[in-house]
Amino acid sequence: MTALYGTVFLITGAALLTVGYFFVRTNLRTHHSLRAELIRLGIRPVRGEFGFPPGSPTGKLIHTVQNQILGGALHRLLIEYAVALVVMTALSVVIGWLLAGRALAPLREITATARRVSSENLGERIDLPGPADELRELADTFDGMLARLDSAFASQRHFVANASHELRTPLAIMRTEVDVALADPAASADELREMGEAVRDTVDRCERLIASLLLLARSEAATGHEEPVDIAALAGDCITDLWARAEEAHVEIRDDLEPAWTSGHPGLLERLIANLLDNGIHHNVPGGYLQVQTRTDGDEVELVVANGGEPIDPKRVEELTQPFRRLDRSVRGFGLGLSIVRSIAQAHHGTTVLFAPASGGLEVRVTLPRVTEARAARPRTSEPARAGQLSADPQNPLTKS
Amino acid sequence: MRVLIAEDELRLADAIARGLRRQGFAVDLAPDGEQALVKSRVVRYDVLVLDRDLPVVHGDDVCRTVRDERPDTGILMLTAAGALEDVIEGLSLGADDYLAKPFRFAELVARIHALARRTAPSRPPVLRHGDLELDPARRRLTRGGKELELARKEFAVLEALMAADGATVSAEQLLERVWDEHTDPFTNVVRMTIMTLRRKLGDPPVVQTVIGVGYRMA
Repeated sequence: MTALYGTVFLITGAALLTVGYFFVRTNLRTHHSLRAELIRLGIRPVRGEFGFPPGSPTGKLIHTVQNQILGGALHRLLIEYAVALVVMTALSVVIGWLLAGRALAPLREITATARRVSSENLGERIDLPGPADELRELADTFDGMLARLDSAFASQRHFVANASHELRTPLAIMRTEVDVALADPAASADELREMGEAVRDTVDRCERLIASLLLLARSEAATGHEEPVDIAALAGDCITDLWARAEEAHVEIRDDLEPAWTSGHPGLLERLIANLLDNGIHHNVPGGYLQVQTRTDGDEVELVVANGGEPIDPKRVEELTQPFRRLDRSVRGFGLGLSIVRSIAQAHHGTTVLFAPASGGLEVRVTLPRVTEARAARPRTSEPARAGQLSADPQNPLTKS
Repeated sequence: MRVLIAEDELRLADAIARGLRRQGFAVDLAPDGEQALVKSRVVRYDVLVLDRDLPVVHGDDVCRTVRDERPDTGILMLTAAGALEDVIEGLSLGADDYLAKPFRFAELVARIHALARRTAPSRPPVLRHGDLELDPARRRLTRGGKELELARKEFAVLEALMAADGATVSAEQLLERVWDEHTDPFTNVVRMTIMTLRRKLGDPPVVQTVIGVGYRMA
């Protein structure tokens, strides 16, 4: 940096001095000043360069003297300028070097901290003191980045620990079932078959758990290709898919779906809705209800899924979106459903709010940013029939009375 | 021997119970920490197989409480967390042993046996009385060198009597040690089992009835 600064100074200094030199030279050679001088001395100007006939000896003398004086002065000036340039350049290099060193000390600190930091050691921050200038801003931005990395790594570690923990139980089940069945030399074919079925069920369970975990991880990293999506249409599809299951559980689905357009990944958003509906059916009571609502409100769209059921302790409601947190283990599932919902909502720049009414059950409210339908690049042919227009279609279970 | 399994994962608890019952243990189940405490206060279990992650009352609290209230119950912690810190934490809470999931069932059984031996008043691994030799771990009984086949409950009753080493064991105590909570307390199953046991053991008789008190090894 000092080299750059020094070179710049040298060049500008040289340029300045060269320009100055030429100005001086030009000024000294102008006619007017000499003529004015001579007039002042009382010598009458005559035509010719200096008021004296050009060929005359005085004229030549004056011409020569003038040239000598000019030449000498300019020569001395040139030397003086050159010396001054060298000295000033050297001085400026030294001062510049010192000042730059001081000003850039914070950068060195940032570099040192960056070197020390590693994935195990993200706790350090630069915490630069001093005025709020560009360097402070750089240091603060760097600190912010470290904080984000720290939390990302921590949540990843936490997640991996949780996942491996959760997978050990199904493994233990399978292991025990197999060990116990095989330990009996007189095990009947029926017993072995039962063991086989138990193992298969547990393998299925592992598969579902892994799929959920992958979905959770993917939803946290959701980037890239997004498209306009109508939440109402997706909700309608999900309701149709889960209709039979709701009937089996004697849960009544009530829907109120207004068009609600947002931008995102249809697959993930569908999973979000499906998880909410699934939860709503499962944690319900026979004869209970499941209410699904979508609407547009200003520049946001809202999805509300509410179900009746057992009262939930309000203090435990916030815990429900943490991975693997369940109210009780006897109900099927891994406790990932709501955390996936929250994660997908977040990836779509939305929010999830849970509320447990005193009368029982749970209400989940997902808010997402709205996107105007004009942006819809590809018209989805199923939309117009579904969104909001749930009129008499004999094949549509939603309108069956 | 009577074992309590405190595990909220029903499938796993069931599988373990099944396996242990086949090995001759009397097994009770507790699906949460509170149940585990309630049951351990009613019955003295030889071994408590305890999962740390229990609902209602956490496994760690159960461990501490049972350790205080039942010093003669062995506690084997069974859990998915197998890292060194978890092992150390579990053992320092008062557990006698720590087994990480997934585990080999044979190992679980061996450790339960080892624990039960420790908590019972100094018991040798193989019990001997006269020409009878009973090996609880291998489930073998020989008399005069010849192997005898016993049903599970018979084996367990004989084991309890031999462990008492001549002391009298009441029918209630036998019921508590050898049968689980699903047994009718007014049953005469103990008497019936002693009867078939005597028949299988043959002559000279080794199981003596102490009228009004119970049974003992002669």
